[in-house]
Amino acid sequence: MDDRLTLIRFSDAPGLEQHLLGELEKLSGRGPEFWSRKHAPLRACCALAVRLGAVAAVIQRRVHDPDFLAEYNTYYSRQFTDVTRHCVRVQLFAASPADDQSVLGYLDAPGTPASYLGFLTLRPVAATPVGASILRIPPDVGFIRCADQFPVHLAGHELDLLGVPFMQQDNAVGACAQASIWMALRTLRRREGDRAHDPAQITGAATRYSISGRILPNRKGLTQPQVVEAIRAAGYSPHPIHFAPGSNFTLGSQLDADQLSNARRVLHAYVESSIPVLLILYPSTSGHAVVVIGHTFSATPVHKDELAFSLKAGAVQITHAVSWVPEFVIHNDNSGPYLPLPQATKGSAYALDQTYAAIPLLPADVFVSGEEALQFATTLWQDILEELTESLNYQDAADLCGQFAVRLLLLKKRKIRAWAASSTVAPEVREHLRLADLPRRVWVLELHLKEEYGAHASERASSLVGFILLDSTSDAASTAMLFIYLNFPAFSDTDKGTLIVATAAEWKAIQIEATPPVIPFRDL
Amino acid sequence: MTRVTLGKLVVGTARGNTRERVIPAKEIKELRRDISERITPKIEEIREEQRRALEESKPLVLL
Repeated sequence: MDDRLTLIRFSDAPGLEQHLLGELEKLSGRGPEFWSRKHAPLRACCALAVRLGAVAAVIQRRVHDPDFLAEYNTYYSRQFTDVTRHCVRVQLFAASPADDQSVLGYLDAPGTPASYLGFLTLRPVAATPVGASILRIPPDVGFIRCADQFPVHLAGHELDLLGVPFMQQDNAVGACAQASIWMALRTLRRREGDRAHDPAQITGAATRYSISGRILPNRKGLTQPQVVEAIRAAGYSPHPIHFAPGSNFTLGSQLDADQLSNARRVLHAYVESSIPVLLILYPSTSGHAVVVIGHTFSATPVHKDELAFSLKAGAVQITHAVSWVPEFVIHNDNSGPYLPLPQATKGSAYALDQTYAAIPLLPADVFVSGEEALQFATTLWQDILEELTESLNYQDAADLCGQFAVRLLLLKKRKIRAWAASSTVAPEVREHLRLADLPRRVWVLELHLKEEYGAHASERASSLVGFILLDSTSDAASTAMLFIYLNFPAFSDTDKGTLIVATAAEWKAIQIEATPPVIPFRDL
Repeated sequence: MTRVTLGKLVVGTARGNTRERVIPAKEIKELRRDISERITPKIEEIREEQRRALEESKPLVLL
């Protein structure tokens, strides 16, 4: 029997892949003749590990992986052929081992734990081997909003890991939809409580009330209603959004420019809120699900995504924050983790313009969707702009509005209070945000100086000059508004700012002294 | 009589001479009605569009 822990070294991705294929052959009892093109995720994970700086790995054998154990109990244990219930876990490190160093000597060396890069789980399924895995976020991939900390225990060490869980479909217990739902649920697990289902539970929940064929093996995938039911069963509020309503959007169709711009704005609000979003793509081949976990960021706008405002002075535009987002970043179970999703279809690759629908996993206590919150906040903002530009001619009004970039995101109240406690915003704003009654989650429309917004690419830029806070549980437009803060001196010739605090008991209007722009609620 | 709006309240506070004031109940009522009249139809439009899109959606299999 092989040792439970073994230290390996490698110099490149093919070298790591060869080690892993050797482990997979021993684990599954199946050689290269059983391997398939579905090894793309394994190759992508090896390439990413090396890109992160991996030069060594601790191979951990006879691992009882709870997600594979569920797949085993549901399906593989019922096969006539022997299938082990164990997995192999590959723990990756950037620290170089000394010659002839023992595995414990390596793990106990001072620099090793800090060089931890994450792990891959190999399940004993030769064709689709990548089970529950988490790799550290690549430094060059932008902002991975859905990432969380996952402590990993190895030979007496607790290792820190910031990332988003990844898994390949096994093509028996689950297809792409189950893998994407699993990745979304698992990344929310620590933030939202232990409601992360394993792949077998996801398939069970999805097919509980509606089936279109055999459940095991699940070769026919899931339909959108089944996906929605699986998310609901896990305790979240699935919110399907269709970007081409009333059209004949089908396999091979693409969103037009306006639909794509709307899709970008809608997705951005959820992704900025750390809410993973399932995308249902219709490429020319067959329906496919991926999960959006973040976005890349450019120091200068790469799209012209604007919100239109009709003022008495004329029609003006305000830039939406998604203009600085070249691409969203996805986990794609059939090709790998942390992949940019191109905007437009080129050849056979997946792209954002193939999106038929998006399903953000809204927390169950959020009743106002991002689309509604944006409409609500921008209508309030329009009313304020109308008053602010009343005496201006069209060009001056357009110039004033041209200074802004807006970003919408959902935040927990503790994040808002933590921001207030440390922000350099005006003292009255800090005090009221820390002391006021607030719902657990609040939609925030941030108002930024457009000139400063791109600086977030490289630093914590002070770009925030105002915000509107909305109650995410409200069922009436007239009671949703909680706070409005506008630091007018930062963008107009008015030399004082305003804070409106609206509670059920009373509304207060407070004049605020000028302060410089501040760092936003959430870093970009 | 000038109609009370949120815009007038927000901009007026910044430009006015009063440091802090509690808005009278009657004024809050007017502001709430004004906000509701502006926003509710737009929110209903979004919900109606999303309902229609769901009705017309096609349950394609995801693989």
